[in-house]
Amino acid sequence: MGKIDLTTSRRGFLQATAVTGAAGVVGSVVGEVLQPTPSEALAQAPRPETKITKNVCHQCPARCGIDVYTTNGKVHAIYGTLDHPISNGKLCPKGHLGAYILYDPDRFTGPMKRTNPKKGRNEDPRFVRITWDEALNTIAARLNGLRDKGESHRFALLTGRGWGASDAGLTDNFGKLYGTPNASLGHSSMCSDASKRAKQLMDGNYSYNAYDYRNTNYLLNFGAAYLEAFRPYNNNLQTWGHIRTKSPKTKVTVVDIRVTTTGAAADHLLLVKPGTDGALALAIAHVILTEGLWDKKFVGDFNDGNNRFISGFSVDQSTFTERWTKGLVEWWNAEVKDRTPEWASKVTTIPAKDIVKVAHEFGTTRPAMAIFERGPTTHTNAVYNGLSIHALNALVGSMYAVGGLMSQMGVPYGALPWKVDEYVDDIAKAAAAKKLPRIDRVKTAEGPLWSNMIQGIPDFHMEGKPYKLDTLMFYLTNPIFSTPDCTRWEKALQDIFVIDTSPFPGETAMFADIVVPDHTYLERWQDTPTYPFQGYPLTNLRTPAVKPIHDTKVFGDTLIEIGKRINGKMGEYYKQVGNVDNVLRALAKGFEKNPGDNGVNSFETWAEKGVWYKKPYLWRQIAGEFYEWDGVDYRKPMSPEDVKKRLFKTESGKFELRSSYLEKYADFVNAKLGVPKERVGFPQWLEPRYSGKGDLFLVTPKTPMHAEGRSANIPQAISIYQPVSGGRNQTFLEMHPKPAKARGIKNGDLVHIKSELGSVKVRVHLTPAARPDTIVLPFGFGHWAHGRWAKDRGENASAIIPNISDPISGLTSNYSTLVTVEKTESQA
Amino acid sequence: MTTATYSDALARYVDFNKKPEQMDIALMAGGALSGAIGLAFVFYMLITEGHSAFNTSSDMAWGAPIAFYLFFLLTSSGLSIIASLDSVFGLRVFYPIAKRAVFLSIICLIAGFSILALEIGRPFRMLWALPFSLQIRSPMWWMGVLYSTDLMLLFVKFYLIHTGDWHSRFSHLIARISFVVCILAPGTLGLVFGMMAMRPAWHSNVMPMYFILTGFTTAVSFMLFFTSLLPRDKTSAPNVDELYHEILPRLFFVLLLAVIAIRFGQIVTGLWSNFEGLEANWLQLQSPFFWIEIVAGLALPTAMMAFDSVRRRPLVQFVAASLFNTGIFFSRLELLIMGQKVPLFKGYWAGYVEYWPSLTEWMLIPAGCGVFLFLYGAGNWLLRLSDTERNNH
Amino acid sequence: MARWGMVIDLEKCTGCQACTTACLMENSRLPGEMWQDVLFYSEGEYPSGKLSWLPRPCMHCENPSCVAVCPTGAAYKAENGAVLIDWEKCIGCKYCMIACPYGVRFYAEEKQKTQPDIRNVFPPSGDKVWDPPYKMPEHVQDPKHGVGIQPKNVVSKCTFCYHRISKAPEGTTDLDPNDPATRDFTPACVVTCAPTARFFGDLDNPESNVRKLIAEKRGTRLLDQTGNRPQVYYLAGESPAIPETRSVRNPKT
Repeated sequence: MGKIDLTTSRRGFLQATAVTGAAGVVGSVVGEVLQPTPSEALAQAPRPETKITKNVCHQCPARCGIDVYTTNGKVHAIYGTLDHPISNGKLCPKGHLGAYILYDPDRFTGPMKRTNPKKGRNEDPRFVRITWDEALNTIAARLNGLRDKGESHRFALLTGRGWGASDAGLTDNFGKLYGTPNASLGHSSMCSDASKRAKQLMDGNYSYNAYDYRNTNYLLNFGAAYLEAFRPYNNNLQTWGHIRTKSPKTKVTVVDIRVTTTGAAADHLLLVKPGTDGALALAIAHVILTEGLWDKKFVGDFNDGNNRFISGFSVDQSTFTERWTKGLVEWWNAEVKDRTPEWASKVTTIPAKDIVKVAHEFGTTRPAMAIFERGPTTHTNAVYNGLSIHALNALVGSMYAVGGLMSQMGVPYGALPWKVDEYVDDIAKAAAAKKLPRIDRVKTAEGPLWSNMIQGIPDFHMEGKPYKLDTLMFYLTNPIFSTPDCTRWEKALQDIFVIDTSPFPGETAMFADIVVPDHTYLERWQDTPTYPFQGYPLTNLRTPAVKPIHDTKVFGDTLIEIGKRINGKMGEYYKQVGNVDNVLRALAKGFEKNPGDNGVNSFETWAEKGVWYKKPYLWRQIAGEFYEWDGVDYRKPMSPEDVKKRLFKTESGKFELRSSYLEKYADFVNAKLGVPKERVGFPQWLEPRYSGKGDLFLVTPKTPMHAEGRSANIPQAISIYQPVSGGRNQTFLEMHPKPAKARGIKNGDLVHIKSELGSVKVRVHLTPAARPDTIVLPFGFGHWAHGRWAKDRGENASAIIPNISDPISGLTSNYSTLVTVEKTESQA
Repeated sequence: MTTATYSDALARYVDFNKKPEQMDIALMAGGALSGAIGLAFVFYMLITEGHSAFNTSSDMAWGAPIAFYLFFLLTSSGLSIIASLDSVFGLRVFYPIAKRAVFLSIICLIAGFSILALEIGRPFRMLWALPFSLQIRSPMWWMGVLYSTDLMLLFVKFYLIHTGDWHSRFSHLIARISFVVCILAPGTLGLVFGMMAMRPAWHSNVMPMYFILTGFTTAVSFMLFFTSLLPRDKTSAPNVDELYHEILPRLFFVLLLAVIAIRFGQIVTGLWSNFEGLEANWLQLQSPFFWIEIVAGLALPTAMMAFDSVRRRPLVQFVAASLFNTGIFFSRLELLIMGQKVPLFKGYWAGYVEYWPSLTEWMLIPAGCGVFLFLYGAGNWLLRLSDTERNNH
Repeated sequence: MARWGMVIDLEKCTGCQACTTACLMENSRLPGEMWQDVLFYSEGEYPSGKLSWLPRPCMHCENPSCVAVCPTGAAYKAENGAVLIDWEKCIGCKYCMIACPYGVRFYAEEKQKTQPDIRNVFPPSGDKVWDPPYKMPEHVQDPKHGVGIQPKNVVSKCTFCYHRISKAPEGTTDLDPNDPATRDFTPACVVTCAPTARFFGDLDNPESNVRKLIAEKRGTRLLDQTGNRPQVYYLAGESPAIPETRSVRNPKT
């Protein structure tokens, strides 16, 4: 790695910018030549060189292109890359702190071996430094042994925020060659699987949406922390500045369970009872339909143009002709006709007049869109809440429209030259032939629509069903801290050989038998395709700013090196692959035929610019007609078949208000959630099942400084953990004064939050703006490891949140917990 | 000159042959011990932790050390006023305590400056950076200039009267200049706080007057404290008993009433007004320092000084003076806290600024008082503090 | 010479605090030493309670009270409008911290609120407060203008990123971070502000964008009754997220 130095450089940090600025700081501005100004800087003595390398921030999934400033081999500043479509030269509060991660004094300095056989929270692993050879050979010996015994499926690899074909993307082939179904276990079931699933059930795309926020005039936001944690955070902030000052100003209504900065900055903030967002969405749909506000060009209309949607009355299906939706009238008859604002008011606690007002605004403003994320979906009715909200996007015709929602296009990477199928040996084939389920029981009868079930793994392992794991490797995920009822992992990992790859001494590392530490993001090469953003394809390349400061190895190379040490064909495959560098160069070959808008057409230019992207998004719905980009404009009409193939990938090729996909699982849904089989396909109100016997909802949102937990050990981040219930240096429990007073709790008191799983002790901050039935404790505190600043700072609510998931999507229902709160005896 | 001539010269001023009284020894020993412990602790903490050993912060920038500094400096100025009553205003009855007052004034200044040196970030840089900056807009610059002048004048004045020159034109000139300076200096110190419009709890044009008045009251209290029970030389002054038994305690009583009047005005105004920042006046009602001032510092001494028959007694004078000194000491601290209690634009999460002095800051009390008492004991032993003009006429 | 000033559009500000961390990083600040802070306020009660915020840099006043009280001349008003501290003259008397109506001056010699004390983790060599690996490069540090890692026992404050703005070519009216020609001279908080709520330009130039914004969008100054005349202007706009008062306690609690 690092064979070529692609970093731009210049003399002097700022002084000489006048001359070399165009090539240096702003080196990515094509063809821009600045007029040299005669500044005194030129006369100054040569200064140390400041290098700027292109990288991608790794503190959340947004994929912000960053300029990393390095002088004398030390990184001292990070700014957004000016010509990067996501960061546009800007950053969020986390982005600047990357150097603190690089220079975290608690990082592992190299591979570590556990010498204390006992594992536990209070057991010092007694790590000793070993060489990379010893570490890799130890792991390979264990993996070879499993294969020899025919138990290769008992090796699992859990990944989190790993991105790109050169990184976490390598695990699929690893599993295939090795012979385990468990090499690509993800963490999405504690992220946002329900929103993806709900969208897939209606529009056929199992993905988060891309959004044309800048052109929308109404944003109806259900529980997406747009200005706090919703990706791409930095770009959301940029968008906010634009949409709130453009003409006409974009109106924003936020539906949430607490006062967030998003809600506070919005025009309306509706504080709903947790888990009832779907009811509100259905009532909005009800108003839109009864008042004839739906988008007739997209949805269709009554044949005679007379609106027959009258509250409480069914409609004859034949009187309505649908265009791009399927099942509107059936849905009305089955569900929406009774979902009046008055009804929703009782469910959600939002006054009916407020619901009507928002519905009017949303229904009469175009373009408008309804967005949602974890808020409405971390409940047992997750998918139905999601369906009810996403249905609104069909009603106002925002699918693929200007100012509406899209799907994300993929990147035309070059194919890897190594034919993986040729290297699958007999052991791997035999393992595949067993057709064993994954350890997380995904796609079994238990979870036919799950894509991951990370929070189930400790139970499944301990039950030995489908089998027991032998070796578990963690990459960029720390479920021992972050999953509901997280202490289960501490029992489950007792008899598992644990490999951790984190550079930091987190909770997982404390249970690890061997640690093979990864580089931080400022030390590595890696490709990072975008999350759904604005639809058009985009991918970044991380370039190291400095040589690794410790004896670490990038995860991709660790995996390749382990692969080389596996006996048989698998080892040969990885010897061919060689290293991550080769993978990246192979990927970049794809750009030769598809140069990016910024001229990137090779590995070298990719590294220089840091990003490849190709605008525009290729498809658009205009007034109920679909068009494809013809090179100049959206003028090439699309046939219904094209639309089905590209856009609405459902059975009907339409936006399904009666989901044919979900109806295939009618028996399952009926058994798990009690929804009558004939109603399974409709967006509908389903009472959430709250867990626990308490009287207050416990909600654990992410704060802006801590949205991904990467700042847990950064003292500068800790010192500004506000706003809302963050405070400074500590988190507070946000609680309304009324329930507090009833319990004799005063501002600043220490309290116990109790669930059936136990209790955590936290300090209360009385918050009159909060819902009286909901208490809020931000997620991210309460590490018992992870470095000197993270450790023992506050408490981790995950320990007392029961492990309950939405049966359909598998997403954790961790905002549905009812707890009790009482003042502690000792206030010290 | 040889060493011998040096000691000869010194012996002209210092009476080494005099036997120290028991109380002088006790003062010096106690002062040395207390000062040594205090200073050793404070120095150790400052060397190891720097000013982080204080509980002051960017929100409460000035804390206990500044309060202690204020206490000593204002007292010094008050003592200097007492020393001027005779020479400037011709109140001859005060001659018997004039020299003692000048000496006390000097050692108060030394104690105050010592504490400031321990508090300020870069005390040595102050020595050159302050005088040459000519920052005439800064009340603190004037404060530095005036107190430095004050100290020099006090030294000259003490030298003159120590060498028997009470009445030369030069001596009278120095006395008059010194008096002007010792009014201006605490007045300027009052401006340091009173001019701060952004600190509503301090912002007041009465602050200079309040500082001069309370400094003078403390000075009278000091005189009572150091002359009622502690040893003082017999003097030949005919009216000395009248001074100690009637004039000083009566003056103390009147001054206490004046302090109460001005404090009452301050407190009532503060509690009534609703300008942002003035809620500190309500918050101070929860502070023990405030109640120490009100009860120990004002109510009790006033009651004790109210009746002629009672206030004559040296023990009562001693107790009343001790109570007042303690009260005024904590009132300086509370004043400091009150002005900074309500943070300036720190947001909802900041809350009111909480402050309680750290052990290191508290240890400045034994340090400062120890140095002060040691010097006083030594002075009382060696420098004939009860000299009056008559001895030399 | 330009007299630099800043305009903060509260209608756009999202309270994200990227300005705070950009400043921390650019200027090598200690945890909690937030030259550029965002203040949060919680007001009212459910269901109409609100959360609001106010970004608060140093106001770089035209008539700075902190400069007036400095007994040594260490606090000074630079020609380009920035209020600075000469760390070679500051005696650490902290009077300027008392006299600043906006609470934007800091003294590092205090008990660190975020423990363990990072100064012990990256201990200084010589007369500096700390020495982190990610510190501002030595050749950029400039103690005469209060730029870089401060010596012990002196007061620190926002410099308007003096080390950046002072390099701007003469005659520049506005420092626009989106313009490659001026980006590197723009203060860190302005560069990074994602919603573009911050603008930086010459207040003396009637043609400047900042002057136009102040005129068009009702620019106001914080606590203008102090007479300090800030060179940081706020555009109040229509945002609901603007504090009603500066009260430190919600009376409902």
